[in-house]
Amino acid sequence: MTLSCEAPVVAGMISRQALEEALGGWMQSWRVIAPVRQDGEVRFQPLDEPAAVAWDYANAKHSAKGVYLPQVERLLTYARTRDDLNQVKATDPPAGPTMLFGLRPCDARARLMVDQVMVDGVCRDRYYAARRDGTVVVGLACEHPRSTCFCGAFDSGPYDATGSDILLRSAGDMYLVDVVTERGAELAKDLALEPVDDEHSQRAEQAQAKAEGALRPMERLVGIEAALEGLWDDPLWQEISAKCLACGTCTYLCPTCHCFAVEDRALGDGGERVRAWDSCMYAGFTAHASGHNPRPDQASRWRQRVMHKFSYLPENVDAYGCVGCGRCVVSCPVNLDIRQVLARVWAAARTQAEESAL
Amino acid sequence: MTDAHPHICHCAENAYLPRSMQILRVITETDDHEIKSFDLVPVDDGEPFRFTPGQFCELSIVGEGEAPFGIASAPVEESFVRFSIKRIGRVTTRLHSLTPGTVIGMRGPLGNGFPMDAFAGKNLVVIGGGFAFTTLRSLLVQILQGGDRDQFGQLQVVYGVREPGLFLYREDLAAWQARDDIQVVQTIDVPVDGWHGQVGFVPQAVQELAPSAKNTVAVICGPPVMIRFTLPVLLELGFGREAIYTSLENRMQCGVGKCGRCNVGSKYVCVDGPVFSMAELDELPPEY
Amino acid sequence: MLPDEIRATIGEWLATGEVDLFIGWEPGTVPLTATPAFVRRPDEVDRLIWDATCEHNLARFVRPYRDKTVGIMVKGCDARALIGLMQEGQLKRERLRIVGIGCDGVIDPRRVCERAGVESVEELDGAQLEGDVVVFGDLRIPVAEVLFAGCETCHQRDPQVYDLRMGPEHDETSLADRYAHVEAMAALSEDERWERFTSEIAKCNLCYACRNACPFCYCNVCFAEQTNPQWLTPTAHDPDVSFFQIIRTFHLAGRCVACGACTRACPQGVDLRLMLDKLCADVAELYDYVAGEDPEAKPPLTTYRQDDYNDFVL
Repeated sequence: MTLSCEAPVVAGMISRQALEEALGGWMQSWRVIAPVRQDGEVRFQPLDEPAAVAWDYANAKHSAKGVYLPQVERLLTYARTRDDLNQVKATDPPAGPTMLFGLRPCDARARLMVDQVMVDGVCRDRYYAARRDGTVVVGLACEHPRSTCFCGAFDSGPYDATGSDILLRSAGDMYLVDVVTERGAELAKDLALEPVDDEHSQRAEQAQAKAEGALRPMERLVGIEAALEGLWDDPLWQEISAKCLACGTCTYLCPTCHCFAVEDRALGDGGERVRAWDSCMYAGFTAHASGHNPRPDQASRWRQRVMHKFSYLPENVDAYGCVGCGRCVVSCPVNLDIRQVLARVWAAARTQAEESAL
Repeated sequence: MTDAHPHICHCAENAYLPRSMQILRVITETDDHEIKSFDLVPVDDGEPFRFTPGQFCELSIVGEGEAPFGIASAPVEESFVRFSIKRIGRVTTRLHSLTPGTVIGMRGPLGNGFPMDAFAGKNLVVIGGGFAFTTLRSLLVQILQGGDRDQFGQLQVVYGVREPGLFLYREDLAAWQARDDIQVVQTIDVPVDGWHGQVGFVPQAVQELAPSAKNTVAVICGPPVMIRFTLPVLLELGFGREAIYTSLENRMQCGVGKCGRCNVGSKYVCVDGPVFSMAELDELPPEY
Repeated sequence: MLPDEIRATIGEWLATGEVDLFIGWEPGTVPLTATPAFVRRPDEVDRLIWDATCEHNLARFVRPYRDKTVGIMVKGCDARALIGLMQEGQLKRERLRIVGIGCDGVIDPRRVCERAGVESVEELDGAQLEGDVVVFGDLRIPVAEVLFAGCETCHQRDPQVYDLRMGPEHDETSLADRYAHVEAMAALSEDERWERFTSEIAKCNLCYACRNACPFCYCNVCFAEQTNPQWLTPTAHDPDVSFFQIIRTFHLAGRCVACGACTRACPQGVDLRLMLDKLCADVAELYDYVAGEDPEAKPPLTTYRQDDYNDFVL
């Protein structure tokens, strides 16, 4: 899978205070989006002041997806008269660079995966590309994975630098600064770095070992596309989807889900054509105007969700449509746990293999 | 992907921006008025519209939305781009109310088109049912009028509709009937007064025609039930699954393989299709 | 696990084929959550549980199986939903085997998080229910202190329809408490009410979890998803959001049984109860009717009476 990176280079270490000072500087020329506490929960928001960063956050309920793929994005504005139903003007993607600060490794990898579809795929999506090209990521390694995290199942982990330009690793009172990309190297020049000493280096390594050890064991998911091959007609899809409410919360919170609708919003004789998040969990997602629906029930829609994430995306863009962030597990109103679904997939494939060996 | 047909991409500019096209004329194709053809011309002096038969466009009416339609005109018909549209939903109903002179939007060409290179040197059996004859017209007109008729072998067409008033492109069909370099069998479902042509469903008509499979490619477009019953006839005649092509339909929005809704298995109908060989469809799940 | 007698009966129903399917709850994978369970074999009955985490209204799952005989576990509120569905001709009593539960309310994990000083439910690792106390590390929180808000003013905790019963019996609660938040809203000025309403609605992202969790939202094609005419676009901008919420609320007038499933399902924390209870209060006042009490009763908004209140007709 392409979602990996060259080993990062440790550039130095820095105190939180110095980091906040650097942030203050960055905020002059970047729109800095960071995890911020508001109304009792953590959200990715534009930063008002460096001290507002929620350094010790686990992860935000909502992903940072809205930064690189807004929930509603204006593609064009239009006016119309009786004779001309195509007075259209493309909107310009927002100018100005964005810094995603404090992103966890799972979310950084997720953004990279969506890049593969939107920019590096068949066509270059101009709106997405503009946002992507103007965005840098300062990642924050994850010291306290939750019981619902499963990044390890993808051969990744809470200290994976993939997708970040710089990765910060906590070492008690200091942060180690890992430079991952050229843009990261540029950014690192703004930081008042000290050389890393053994003590802090060890602390960071210990924190990493502890974090990786804290991940709940789970069957490895790399290679699950092979398991899915023979399962199209398996009864498991009916069984696992029975309690699904089709509310789409999983798709909305997921940092890799990117399916969208293109809709017109009329405002009198003018209006706009927007791209808005849509969900394969909804019945109307694939419904034809004739009434025919190739995915007529929740079982077929759940099969699509799993196949898309764990079979089609690996085939087409060499990356899984899941990073193990666990948001869907936490927020599903009926606790439809994708980890259990995937365990069922492995089990069903094994049963099939056993049966065909007979 | 059939023969690695490239997605003809204008997306370096903006994949979502429709080009302004003016309605040159509107032709009511069917007696029930439910299907009309719209011939469009570009408003601007921009690049001429180039495409391959089998490709489609998203037609856009701002304030209503977009919908995908196969291109019914052939590339050689340079003075217009034709779309035949059945009135079925919001966008199509609005389209049907429009008159010549009105400007609408068009994005395309999208999709992969028929593999013309693979068809060259072969005989063709073209089978259409009902409304699904649109891109088949594009294919046939291109072969007949494109200046390369001798690049292709024998041309046999079976076109079936429920009743005579539902044939599309009746002027073209009449002209083709009069030619000797194409054989056209038109058939209707059940006998009707005044109809002196063939009667019977398409699978039957294909069976009676009994086209030779040798060095022949079949292209079949129509309702799923028609395809389901015609396919065995073709296989029985000796057509290999890699020599039978069809065009899939699915709900589409972006048309460029990103919005995630038109996929059949790992393939997007808007980018890897809509044209697929049966052999390629065999690799995909039956979800369409 | 469920009480022995209940377990045995459910097992028997499944073994004899008296029911094709039994819908209950089993433990979830996130702390303090349960999850709907669909069991078909007697040996699966041991998976089923009942406690204050069993918040889902399972009546929502029955309708697709209405040609079969289905067993189901229902709290007082869920039983009202079954009654309502029978009133609307969606379910037949003889096709149901109902285990009714006298309920003391379900917990709101968000309130537990607040008490425990954590931000999100997955941080309540190791939290357990021990009887009517939530235990998390050293913390012991009585369930009664972290109930879902709607449960605090529940007007009928005992199931009014069942084949088997479990759980305590309760004295009827007065309905006056139930509408306290509606009355408080009505006492605000018009501007304040508008502010309250719009700020709640602003949280909605049109995911339809509320609709999908509700046993009464069963239209084959919801107005929200019609394409011709198309009433809404899935873009969650304000006119669409208000339109959806207002219309759904009105579609439930005289039908909503105040089970709270919608409000618990909402991932955004929109206070849907406020709007729905308002209409429940209005229907009670104008038509002297409370939904989900009597399977034979006719819902007022689908029934014509000569003496119907119609002062609002111009």
